[in-house]
Parts: sequence; C-alpha cells; structure tokens
Amino acid sequence: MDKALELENLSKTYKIGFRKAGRRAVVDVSLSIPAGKVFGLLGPNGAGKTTTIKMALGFLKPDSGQVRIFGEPNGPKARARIGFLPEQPYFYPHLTAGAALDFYGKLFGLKRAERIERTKLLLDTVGLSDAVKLPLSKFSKGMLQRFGIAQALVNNPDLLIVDEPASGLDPIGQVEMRRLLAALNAEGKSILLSSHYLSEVENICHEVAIMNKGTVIARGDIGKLLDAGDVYTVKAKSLPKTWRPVKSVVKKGHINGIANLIVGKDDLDRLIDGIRSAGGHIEDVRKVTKTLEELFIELVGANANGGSHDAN
Amino acid sequence: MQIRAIAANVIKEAIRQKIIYVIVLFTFLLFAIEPAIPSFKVGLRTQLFGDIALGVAYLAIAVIAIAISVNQVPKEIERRTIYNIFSKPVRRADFLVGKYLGVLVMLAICASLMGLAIFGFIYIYFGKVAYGIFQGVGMMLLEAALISAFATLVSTLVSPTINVFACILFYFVGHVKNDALANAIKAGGSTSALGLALKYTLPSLENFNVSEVVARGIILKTDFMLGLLLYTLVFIVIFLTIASFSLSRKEL
Ligand SMILES: Nc1ncnc2c1ncn2[C@@H]1O[C@H](COP(=O)(O)OP(=O)(O)O)[C@@H](O)[C@H]1O
Ligand SMILES: [Mg+2]
Repeated sequence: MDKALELENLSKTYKIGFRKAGRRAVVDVSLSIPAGKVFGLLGPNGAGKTTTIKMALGFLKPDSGQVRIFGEPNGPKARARIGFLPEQPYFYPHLTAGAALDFYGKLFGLKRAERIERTKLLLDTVGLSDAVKLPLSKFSKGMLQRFGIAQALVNNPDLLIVDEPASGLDPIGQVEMRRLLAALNAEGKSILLSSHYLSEVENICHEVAIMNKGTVIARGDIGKLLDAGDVYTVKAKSLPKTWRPVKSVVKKGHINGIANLIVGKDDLDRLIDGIRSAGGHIEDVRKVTKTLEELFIELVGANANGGSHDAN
Repeated sequence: MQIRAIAANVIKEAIRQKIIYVIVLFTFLLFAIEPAIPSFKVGLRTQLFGDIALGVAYLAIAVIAIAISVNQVPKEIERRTIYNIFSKPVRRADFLVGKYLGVLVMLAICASLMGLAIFGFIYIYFGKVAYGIFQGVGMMLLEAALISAFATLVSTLVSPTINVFACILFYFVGHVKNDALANAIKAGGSTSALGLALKYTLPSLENFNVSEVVARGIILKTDFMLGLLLYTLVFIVIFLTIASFSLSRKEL
C-alpha cells in the first residue's frame, strides 16, 4: 500500500542552554501513515507528538532518522502536497480571513482565479463565509481553529497534518472538527492527527500510535488495541429475585431493576438461555471494549515496567 | 510569486504601523532647520541647508532601516506564524529575500519622500531647483539597503535588542573615515585588532556620504555611482547568503 508519510527511527534531543545533555524529546520513533487513512498520534502532554510532527515537516532537524513524504524527501515539491494545522495556530492578526487565505494561496503558487475559488469554497466548508472581511484579530479561539483548517486546505492537500486540532474548542466545536476530518478523509485525504484527548480519535482513526516519554508504546488497529478479550456485558430485566446466573458470571450490579452481567464468550449462550427461561428480558448484549483512557493507563503502567504492546 | 507575496506583506505591515509618520516628522524638522542657518548669501545658505537636511535624512533612513529590519524574522518565529509559511513550499532563502525586498521597497518610498520634501523646501524657500538632492537620495538608499541586509543577517542569529546594538556598531565602524583610522593606527592607541578586523571586513559606509557634495550642486559621476552600486550589491548578496544559511539551520 502507498505511504503518505514515513518516519524512520527519528530521534531528537533539545539542547538546553549550553549544557551538553539536553532533553530527549523523541527516541527512535518510526511511523508509517498509509495513504487514504486517518492516523492518530496519541499521548499525554510532553510525549513528543509535536516534536515528531516538526521533524516530519522539517522545522526541526532530527538527530537521526529519515522522513519521506509520498516517497520523497522533504522539500518544496513534497510540501506542496501537505496541509498543516499547527498546535495553537497563530496568523497575521491584521489580515482579514479572505486576505490571509489569499496570501497562503500565493505561497502555494496558486493562480488568482484559483485562489478566489478556493477561498470561497474553504470559508464555506469551515463555516466562516460571513467572516471573509473580518480581521483575524477579531476571531474567537474556535473561529481561529476553523480558519486554521481552511488555511491547511488551501492547496487541496493529499496529506493533512493536524496537531491537537480540538484543543481549545468547546464540545460542539470538537464534534464539528471530528466530522470535518472524517469528511476530508472520505474525499481521499490521508490525515495525521495528534491528540491527547483520547476520545477525540477513537471514532475517526483507522490506526493509532501511542506515545509516552518520547517513544511509541503501542500501535496498530484501534479496534484491536481496545479489544478487552472475549468478554460481554448482558443487561436483563424482569428477573425473579431468586434467579442465580451460571457460575462463571460476574454479577456486576442491579440498577433500577436491570441486572448488569459480565460473562466470558463460552458462557454467553448459556447465560442468555438461562435468563430467558427464568422469564427475564434481554435488554442489551455487547462486547466489552476498553476506552482509550483505560488502555492508556494500562499501557503507561506496563511501560513503566518495560512492557510494550503491539496490536498488529 | 511567493517572494512577492511575502514582500507585499512586509509593506502592508509597515504602512499599517505608520512608518510614514516619520516622514511627516522629518518635513516639520526642515522648518526648524531653516531659521537656524546663518544669514550668508542665498547660494551658501541653500548649500548649507541642503547639506544639513540630507544629513538628517541619512540618519533617519538608517534608523528606519534598522527599526523595520530587526523584527521581520524574529517576529514571525516568536508569533509562530512561521509555521504557516515553511510548512508550505517556501524555501527559507526565498522567505528572507521576500522580507528583504519588502523592506527595501519601504525604504525606497521613505527615502524618496524625504528627498521630495527637501527638494520642495529648497524650491519654495530658496527659489532653487536642486536636482542633486535626488542623487543624495540614491546614495542614502544604498546605505540603508546595506544596513538592512546586515540587520537581516543578524536577526537570524540574535534577539532584536542585541541586533539594534550590532547595527549601531556596524553604522559607526562603517563611518569611521579612513584617515581617522590611519591616525588612530599611527597613534598606536586604542585601535584593537578586533576594531581593525571589523573595519576591513565590514563595508565602508562613509563612501555613501555625499550630502555635502551634492548640496553644492556637483553632479556625481556615473562611474562612481555604478561602482558604489556594485560594491553595495556584493555585500548585500554576501549578507543575505549567510543569513539564509543561518536560517536554514535554525530549529523552529
Ligand atoms: N523547544 C524546546 N526546547 C526544549 N524542550 C522542548 C522544546 N519543545 C518541547 N520540548 C520538550 O520535549 C518534550 C516533548 O514535547 P512535545 O513534542 O511538545 O510533546 P507533545 O506535543 O506530545 O505534548 C517535552 O518534554 C517538552 O518539554
Ligand atoms: Mg504538542
């Protein structure tokens, strides 16, 4: 499969003052973002996500390792296919949204007619059509973030790199951002998305890598990473008080007359049969998955003991 | 197109920051200079006035050059607007050239306006047509272009505050007259090896100081002006080359 972005064994140590030993921000990170997919780079603040992205884009020179963008080394030609939304983006405050997009269009060498068309289309896409003539200094945080996305899409990029796009957005803004990214991916764009809000990426990423303290501690298919094994929860109501489930069931609770039962796959059928023959009604059966938060706590805990997790 | 877009942004920003007010201030200053000239014959007064007014304009354009050059690059880095530029297909050298050309256009506008003010003032108050003033404008622009290239280079290395001091040093070392230097060496006094090294590696700005000559109405030789233009260009190219090398290596 074609790769949108390949990072091979990237390492970066920030020099601090004149001291020799600096801060090891990224240690031997390799990532491969398949074309057409949404790739989530997850991890707490300070994990090294931004540093990794900055190396990918050439803002920082890696101490070692390689970057390839659609198979090519970073250069003007490769960057012409990228859109980037920095963490906490900042734009020339005195420019209007329209003028700023026009400026960024020029940096891509777009012709005037193209720039006019893109500006209109993009401000529409991110819901800022009414703000074409408004200086960016008058934009709210949420509007700036949306403008940032528009700016990253000026060149209709094949690869979109967004660093913490939801930070500073209200819950509705976060949902909108997620929808927008999903829609862009549906158009065929590859997306590298970094986040420390784990729930942000759960629903839109095809693949994730989880970073902590500069290294990747888990990676792979998000469904597999979140799979807790073959465990199910069963909710049932109208069960007689005297009813007792099969031995292997962990009876979790009893809320408002609904029993919440957890069972292994082998006993699932038997449990359901038992509930129904006792006159109970099945309300819900679902496979247990961890939340990313749970996974993360588990991994960071394991990582402290030198463990690593691979879902592929 | 990228270079032009970046340059246009510099000009927009400079206009927004009302650099033009400096020119208005300068024009008012001319009214203060005029009565201060002793009452010689009209011809001599005109010369003296032209010389002094040009001298002030030289200083003003140097100050403007330093003021707008030291901040261009650091401000983009500090405000992180640079991420929206270098993530796009813009080379670091192109960015610098765009910034520099934008500053240059601003300086050309300022120098021309100050020249026009002096020219107009002489025409109205002394009844003379002093075309020579515009040769002075050309020379002060060359000097300012050189100072700006130096400031641009230093701005990729140190903070704007330190840069201002570096520029002032550059200005004074550049204006030390060769004979003054010769005297200092003869006297064996305080001229350090560093001072000498600076003097001979940095361009001599005293070359551009033609205000007295042009105020007297002497037309500068084309050879002289072309030579000086070439001299300036060589230094500008050297400064900007080092600057883009330095910016290319910079971690952002
Ligand atoms: N410019 C810098 N100088 C020194 N240390 C830095 C710099 N930028 C980031 N760091 C450090 O590098 C580590 C990784 O930071 P970063 O890549 O920003 O993490 P993330 O984006 O995952 O929050 C952190 O410990 C941070 O303090
Ligand atoms: Mg970050």
